[in-house]
Amino acid sequence: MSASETPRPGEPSPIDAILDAKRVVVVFGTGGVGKTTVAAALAIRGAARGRRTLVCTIDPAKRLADSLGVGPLGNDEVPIPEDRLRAAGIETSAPLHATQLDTKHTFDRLIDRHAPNAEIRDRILANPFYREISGQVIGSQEFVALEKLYELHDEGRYDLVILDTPPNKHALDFLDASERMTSVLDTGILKWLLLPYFKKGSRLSVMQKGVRAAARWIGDLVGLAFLKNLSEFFQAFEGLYEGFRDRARRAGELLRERTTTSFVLVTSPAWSQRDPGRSFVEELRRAGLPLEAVVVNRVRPAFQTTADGRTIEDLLDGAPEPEAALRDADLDPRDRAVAARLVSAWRRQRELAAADRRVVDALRRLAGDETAFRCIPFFDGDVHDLEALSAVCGHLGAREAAA
Amino acid sequence: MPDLLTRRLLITTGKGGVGKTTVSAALARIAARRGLRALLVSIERHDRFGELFGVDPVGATVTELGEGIAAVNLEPDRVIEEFFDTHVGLRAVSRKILAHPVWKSFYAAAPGLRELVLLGKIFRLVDESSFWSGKPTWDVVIFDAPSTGHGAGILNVPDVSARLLVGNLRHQAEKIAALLRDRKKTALNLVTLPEEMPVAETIELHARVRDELRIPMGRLFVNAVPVEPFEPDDDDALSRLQTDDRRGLALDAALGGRGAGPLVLAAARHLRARRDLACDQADRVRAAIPLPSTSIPLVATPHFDRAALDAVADAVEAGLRAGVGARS
Repeated sequence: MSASETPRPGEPSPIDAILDAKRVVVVFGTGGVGKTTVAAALAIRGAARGRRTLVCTIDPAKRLADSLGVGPLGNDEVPIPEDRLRAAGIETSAPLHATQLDTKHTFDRLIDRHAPNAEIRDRILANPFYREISGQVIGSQEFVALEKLYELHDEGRYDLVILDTPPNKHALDFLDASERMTSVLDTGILKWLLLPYFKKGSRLSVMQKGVRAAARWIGDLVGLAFLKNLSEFFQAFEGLYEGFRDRARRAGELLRERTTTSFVLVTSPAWSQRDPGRSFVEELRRAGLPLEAVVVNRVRPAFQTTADGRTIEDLLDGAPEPEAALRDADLDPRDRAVAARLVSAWRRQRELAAADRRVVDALRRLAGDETAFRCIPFFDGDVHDLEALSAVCGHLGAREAAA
Repeated sequence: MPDLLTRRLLITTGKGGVGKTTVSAALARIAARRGLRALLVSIERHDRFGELFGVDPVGATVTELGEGIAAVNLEPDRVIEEFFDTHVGLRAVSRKILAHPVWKSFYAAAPGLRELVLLGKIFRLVDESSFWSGKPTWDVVIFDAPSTGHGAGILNVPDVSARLLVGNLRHQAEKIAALLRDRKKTALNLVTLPEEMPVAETIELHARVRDELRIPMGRLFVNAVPVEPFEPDDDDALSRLQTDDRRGLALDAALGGRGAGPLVLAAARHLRARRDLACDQADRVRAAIPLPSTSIPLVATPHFDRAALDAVADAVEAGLRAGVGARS
């Protein structure tokens, strides 16, 4: 165990140290591992440590969204009342807010902000090509999440913003989102190319003639109407592009600002059989971004340590084999048969827990000593209310990385 | 409902991490057991077929996995090249167009173009037949679709394209959409876990497929259902052991008398609580989705290997047999 893993008395635990020092915490991981739960728990912990905190969720489970009081439409930032938190055993010393990302709304607002006038704004908002890229297209949610993060950070109304991210199999899908969107919206080449195609009577240079031939070929492939939409979109977008690109660049820079931003990976040993988080850790490392914490969620408990800290090996040391022992137990035959099944179910659980343990250990070695590492057990129930989130908080803030 | 494996194109879809690839591979195993030639198709950056069958990742070339199963992981750029080569005729010309800045920016900007071309390739794989016998090369093509985000992802693309495009590609988009809606040829299977989020999203996805995409549906697979560690009438005895001090102490005494008993009982409580939650969610998804459904028991193994895949295939096959004619 490294120095960073065992704080001296009086020093904050590794996760708390991140929450105290950073202004932005990006929580990422694949789908179904509990990103939103961990993001909400981190936010609660941030508010408990006296930081004005906002958690921005993306598509939370309905019951969790209800507990946080957020809805899917309109980007409202909802305060979570102190008395509700207190009733769940959570003491906060700064306000806690939650919001849910509304992709379409955020994208439209961005157009509104950058459009030079209402006419151009409306032309863009009504363009079929824009409607597709702002809605369904893969990558727009990531782009918009980053945009929202930048806006919140820039406004400075919160000390700490915790961002949940869309489920991704690759860390870079999120990190590169603004770059990819910027290149899609890069008006330069397409506008230049499509303009003469739709402006009758314009005089074309030799080069433009070649371009025109290519554009005509694409026109045959996809149809003129589509190119017309595209051309109109890019013409309208021309005046916005610079501002849009600068903002996307600044948002990308915010992610790379080490003193401000921290990345937390959430994973689960059960998510896949082979790669729970490994590729994320490696991709972040290649991108030169610091991974400050790994949270392994839903680790199956082994039921092997009693409340007073003795392990199962101590307990069973010298005892006869459980199955044999049960034959002589002071129980009636019916209870004895059930007890035998209990013991075998418990053994099976311990095997599953041991398999999880191996995954966790491998991930921990990969993450290295510099990364805070916390495990959250698979609870008896699902985490969807503030009480359960409070239990998650407890595990996140633990001073030692017990599983 | 006719047997799933009489269809030519089986699509497996669901939220990320629910076991789509495992179910796809199990369907391929069952097809092979019946003497059918099955082709597994994925479009991920890294396919998991190789891992499941104990070989290297298959990559962009059709690779035999043995026992009548083959697999391919389509790469958009290679498929686009192939598409251009066939449509342009002259390879030299098609490569020039592909390298042209107009095409490059268009390709970057056009929404769903990659996906459309990938679906076009899958369409051709279904259509492919032997020159000599005229028989289809693949009896069944199993498309392990990428995980759905909020919408139906790639399956939405032919419709979006048909709305936006008018040229050649629109024609292709319409052909793909027609295959996807052909009740005799295509079935879409949903995979979920018995947990709140995947169930909620699967219910949403089912409604979208039914109302908007109108792709014929096959089965609902509820994957990784916890195995019942106790027997139905164990409940009374269990609560006796958990609440009655004398019995609890007797259990602990038999296990050495130093506190192992309470741990065993805590594990039992945990397993039963998780099982009850899973059963509630499985009931919820079955009640909401009127498709024949199959439960696949959780395969508890540290390494998901061939034996584990066969266990899943057995569960899926038992479900298919029981499900024939169950619903129309």
